[in-house]
Amino acid sequence: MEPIRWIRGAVPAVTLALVGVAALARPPVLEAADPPWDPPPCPAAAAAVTEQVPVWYRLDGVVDDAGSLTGQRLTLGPAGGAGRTIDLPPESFASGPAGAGVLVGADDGGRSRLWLVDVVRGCRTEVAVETAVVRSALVTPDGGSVVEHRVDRATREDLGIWRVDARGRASRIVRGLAVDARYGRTFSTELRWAPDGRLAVTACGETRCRTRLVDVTSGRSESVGPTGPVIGVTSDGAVVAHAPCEGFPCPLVRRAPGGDASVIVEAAGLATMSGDRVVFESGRGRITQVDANSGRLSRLDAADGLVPVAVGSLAREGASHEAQAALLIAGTRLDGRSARVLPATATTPAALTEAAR
Amino acid sequence: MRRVVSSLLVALLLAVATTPVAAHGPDPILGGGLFAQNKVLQYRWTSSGTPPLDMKLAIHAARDDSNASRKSKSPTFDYDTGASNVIYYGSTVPCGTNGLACFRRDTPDWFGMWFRPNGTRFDWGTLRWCELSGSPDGCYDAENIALDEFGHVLVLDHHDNFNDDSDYKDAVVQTYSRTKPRAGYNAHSYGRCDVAALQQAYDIQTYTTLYSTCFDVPTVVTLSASATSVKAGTMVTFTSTLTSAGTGRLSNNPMNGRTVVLQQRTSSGWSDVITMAGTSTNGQYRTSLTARSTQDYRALFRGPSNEGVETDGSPALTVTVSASCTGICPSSSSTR
Repeated sequence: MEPIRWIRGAVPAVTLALVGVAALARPPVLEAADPPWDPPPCPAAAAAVTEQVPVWYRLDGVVDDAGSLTGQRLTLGPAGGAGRTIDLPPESFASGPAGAGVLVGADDGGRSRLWLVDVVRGCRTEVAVETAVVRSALVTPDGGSVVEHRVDRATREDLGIWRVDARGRASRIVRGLAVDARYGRTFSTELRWAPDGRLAVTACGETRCRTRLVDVTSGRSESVGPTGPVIGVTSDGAVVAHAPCEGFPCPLVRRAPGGDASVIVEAAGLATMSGDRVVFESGRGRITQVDANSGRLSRLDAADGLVPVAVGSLAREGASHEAQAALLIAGTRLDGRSARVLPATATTPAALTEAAR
Repeated sequence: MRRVVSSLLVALLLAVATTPVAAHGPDPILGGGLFAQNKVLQYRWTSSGTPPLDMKLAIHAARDDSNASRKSKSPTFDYDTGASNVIYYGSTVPCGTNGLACFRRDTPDWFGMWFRPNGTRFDWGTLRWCELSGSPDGCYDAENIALDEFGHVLVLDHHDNFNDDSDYKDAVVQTYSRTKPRAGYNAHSYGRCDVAALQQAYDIQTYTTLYSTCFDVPTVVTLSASATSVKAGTMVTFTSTLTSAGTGRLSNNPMNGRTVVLQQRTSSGWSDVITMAGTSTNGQYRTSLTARSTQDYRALFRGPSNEGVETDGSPALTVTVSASCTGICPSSSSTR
């Protein structure tokens, strides 16, 4: 787990000290049935999150009797435990964890706010407040800034990808995409880090997606597509994705920049990626892994029945794990007990608490 | 060495996604196999994601649309509280970060379907289901989207449209769906290219079912006569058969209820003599004539404009007419 080095000096020290005491005086974990949690600001001294306690989060939509989405409920907690819930507006997201922090974004219709919630300390650090709509964001691998995808509040025009550093300075690193008739209007733009440190920006129409692999320092990018929703990026920069299927089973394809797509698995369900391997549903209740470069399939032990968890800035759930490990769920909902981690060299998934040892 | 498993389907899918095709044809077919012909696939709502009433009604309506417009032996759908197949409405959908709805098919027995809730935020804005939101411009017709999903469950992949989308209404199963009020946003029956793919995969519903105009199925017509050498004034019965000559399920199907005419050769070519009547035998047509002179005959099926089948004529059959019989007379003969 990478420690987060997010430090923000904008909050008055006295306030931080007071709320920090209050936060630390409170048990860090409550059951999900408890009233919604409003995490207090983290004390300045506690802003550097270094704990190695594995944590998890899950976003659930809240739908009213008329069938309308009225909000998102974010549940987060440490390994082995239940969680605290934070009620968020409908246009919200969470990503990570990065260390013990979960990056949370919420748009109230007028502004988008981003916080880093320290799940272990039970507090939050404000990261950014934007007038544009921040659709999703990720903490950078060095923990020193975040990258955000923004759209215009009025027109929903794609405003591109922005980097916001620890002092709140924002700069655009990727321009927005123009509408392309082959893809239709953009439904989602998801961010994920490639193994080589580039940012993969995947914009999807209703079914087809294209990915830009961006060097966030130089701004240079390569485009890959079309594919279906992306699962991850290999160490040599190829995108691994489903084909544009709109359902399962669906082939898994590997597509390098400028290259054709090659099929690595002809029928797969949910899938996740770590390193160069893809862990996927090979049938109802069956889990298999495949090397995305060689196409070599291999069996897993005690993994059948588990559900692969997607990664990326729009993931609905996540949990701490090593960079090369894959995350799965025992059951249908991820929490501190159901999360399973499959380390890089292992063939048997372990509970979150065991994987952290 | 990289293992690359070629897949014709995916190659086509990705190639099509890159360069819209100029040709027109049935929807592509998904991998994963088929359900049994005419199987009844029952579904229920999931307890964790039961749709609101108007969404239930839209999904049930789409079920009826699918059943009524399949024109094939593809499965039908029905609601049953004890069904193993499930339909979910809510935010926990297993279908990526995009899209309105998705499906899972696990032939030969199971399917699932997921719909995102009204009010879901996408990059372009907020999802509104017409049925749940007072039907404003820009809404998605849930019945249409559900029909698209039922089509996927059956086996249909997204239709390959012309570059200018001028054939959009030929299919409900589309790569991206139109919103109100664009033409086709509320189509409530399978388009002809959806039907063509269903017929190819599952076979036509009955022998009288018309073949979709989205394809061009060859046909074969045969002709035989009760006698080919007769005395003048003898009644000769002509029997024709009409069958499809497509591939797979669409090969050698008798075709009932069509128009097959008996023609005779004239100095200027072939001319119609009479329309042959269908018999109780599938694909068979029959008529009788009084033979007065030696003639060449053939049976002709003209591919009609409302059906995707080709014209075919039988080989010529000569009926030789003589003034009187000597020896064994008449004798029978047939072609094909």
